[in-house]
Amino acid sequence: MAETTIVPFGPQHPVLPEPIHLDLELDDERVVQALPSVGYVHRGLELLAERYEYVDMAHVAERICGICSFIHGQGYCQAVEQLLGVEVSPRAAYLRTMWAEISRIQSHLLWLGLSADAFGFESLFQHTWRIREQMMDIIEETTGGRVIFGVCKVGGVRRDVDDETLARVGRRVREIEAEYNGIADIFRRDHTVKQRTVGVGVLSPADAHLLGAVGPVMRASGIRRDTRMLGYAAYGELDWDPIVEESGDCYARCEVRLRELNQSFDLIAQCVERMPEGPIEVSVKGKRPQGELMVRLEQPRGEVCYCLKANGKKFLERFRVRTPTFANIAPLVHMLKGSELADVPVIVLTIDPCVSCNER
Amino acid sequence: MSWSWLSIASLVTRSAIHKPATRLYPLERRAPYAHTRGHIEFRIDDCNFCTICAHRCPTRAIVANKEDKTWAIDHTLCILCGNCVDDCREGCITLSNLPRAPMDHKDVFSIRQDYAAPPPLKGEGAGTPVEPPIPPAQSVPGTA
Amino acid sequence: MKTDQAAGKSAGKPLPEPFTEIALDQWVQTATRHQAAGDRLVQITGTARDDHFEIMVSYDRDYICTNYRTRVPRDTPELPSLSAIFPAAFTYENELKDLFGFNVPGLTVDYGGNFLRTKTKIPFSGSVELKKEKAAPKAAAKPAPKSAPQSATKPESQPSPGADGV
Repeated sequence: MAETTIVPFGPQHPVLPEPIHLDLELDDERVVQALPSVGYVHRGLELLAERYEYVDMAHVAERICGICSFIHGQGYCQAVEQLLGVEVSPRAAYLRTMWAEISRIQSHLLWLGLSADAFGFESLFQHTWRIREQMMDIIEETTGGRVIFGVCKVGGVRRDVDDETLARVGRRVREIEAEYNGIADIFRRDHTVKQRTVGVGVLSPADAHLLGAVGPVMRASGIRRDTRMLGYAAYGELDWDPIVEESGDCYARCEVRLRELNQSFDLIAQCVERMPEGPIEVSVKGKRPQGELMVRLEQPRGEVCYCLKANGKKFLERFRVRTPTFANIAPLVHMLKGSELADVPVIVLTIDPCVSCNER
Repeated sequence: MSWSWLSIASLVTRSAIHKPATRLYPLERRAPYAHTRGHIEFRIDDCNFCTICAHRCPTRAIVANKEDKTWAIDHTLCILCGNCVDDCREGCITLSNLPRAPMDHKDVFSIRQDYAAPPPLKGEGAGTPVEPPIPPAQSVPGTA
Repeated sequence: MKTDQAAGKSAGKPLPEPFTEIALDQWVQTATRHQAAGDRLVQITGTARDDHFEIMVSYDRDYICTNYRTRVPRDTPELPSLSAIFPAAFTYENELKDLFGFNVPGLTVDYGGNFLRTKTKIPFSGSVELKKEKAAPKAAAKPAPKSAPQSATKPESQPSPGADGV
């Protein structure tokens, strides 16, 4: 048997947005085994649910991660609202959906830029983030903050968007989409991008199911499942379909995210068109959450589960988040077996690791 | 995709003429949007020290003291949630859309209010009018 | 409240997905039953309570999730592995091993305690002590819990809002 060398990948690496460690056991240039190691950004946020009142905990839930921040806040608020037995108004549901899709767009654009950087295509990275900046301007105009939106609260949303701003958002989104389509073309057709991604890191549908892949990783292997089909917020009333690709390699995962971006632009336009009138919040003064439940949402990276347990006090008893990146570690380890060392950064990046969500 | 020299030349010319997508910060600054959460501003004139803002602050950035009549905010702890702005009954706290100036050391911005004149002494000098002092708004040395 | 349909979308609130309590010896049988039905493993969670550990597991099929909960006494922290049935379980079980000190016989891919890097090994099984802050500005500083079994890896002296992301 040939001797193997162990090369540490991470926790600091140019392609990684956040620290995760992989010990790669290499035989020449081929990876024999990858041993993951997480825990570099654990902050103990789940314990804070027992220290902060459930209304204030929404602020902490939003700050679990910077990229997926809004949907964490939305998931927490939805779970607590179900425990309280409170239903949000339709306008709040539509506003949340609109902001969730805007959040998904900026997350996917961030990922596209990082993956262009991973293959070394720096100018494409800069152009993608330039488009992302225009989305961040929309976020700042409607919510007040760029990264942490600060608009979701238990019972509804904190801030309303008036009709003129909504109409402007709808128009602007179409303009940004036209600009984005030019960039997406490069991702699809460029020869160098294809060389780095086609046939790399293949995950078969059976493996994706057994290893518990979620999100675009699962949908790129042919499994047609999207947690937004549960119909939470306003997703049950909008027209859309999950996006599925068949080949299961890095190119397919990139393609799923590219098409999801177009789908999100379309969903925002639908939300703006169909936005109902009405109040934006329901009062939860004096109510206490009781019970135990699990709520699932679709983050840009996949399915996220919130398990909450409350026993009638102001503080929750248990707040647990199972993030999509954690579920995607098992397929990642499987995909890395047998791949070349130079493909490791690309494969690690295609599962879209958001490690600060991973370890709260 | 095949690139002819014409398309390359037109792309280069377009990129050379187009103005840059970046802004030369700090010489050029973008005006913030109307609803951007910038920083918390406070006016002590109407404050009655009910300390609701301090109780509702999730990070305890605001410290209000009823006896000493001081109100202090630590801008580095403030997460701009807006609870204090919504709950202040006198309207003393507002959210400004300008970003906070960068700090190079930890600073707590504290305001003290002296609005009550000392009571006149009984007996002697009762007829002398006592002028109320002008309320100073002093901050901890160190703020710019 | 409409029920979820397999192919369509439902409007309105999603169904509440409650937790069913099962005994520890039914752990593997429940998993085999769900795996035969084609379910997917969603998550395995551990919580440290005063005298026992509570393990929750969820299986999902066609957007409907079934959740189970079991209790494991603290003096015998042993949980039969599901990784032979659901290969996806190995990451969750390694996490349980590293955080709570579980013994998981039959684990297919075992990282031997290196999966989660923490300064103190098995951080969630001891008792936590919160350092009280020196100058609490608010009179209502929350007192440290008496013997709360959960702990963070670094005891926090003041709850802080956490870090912003990118």
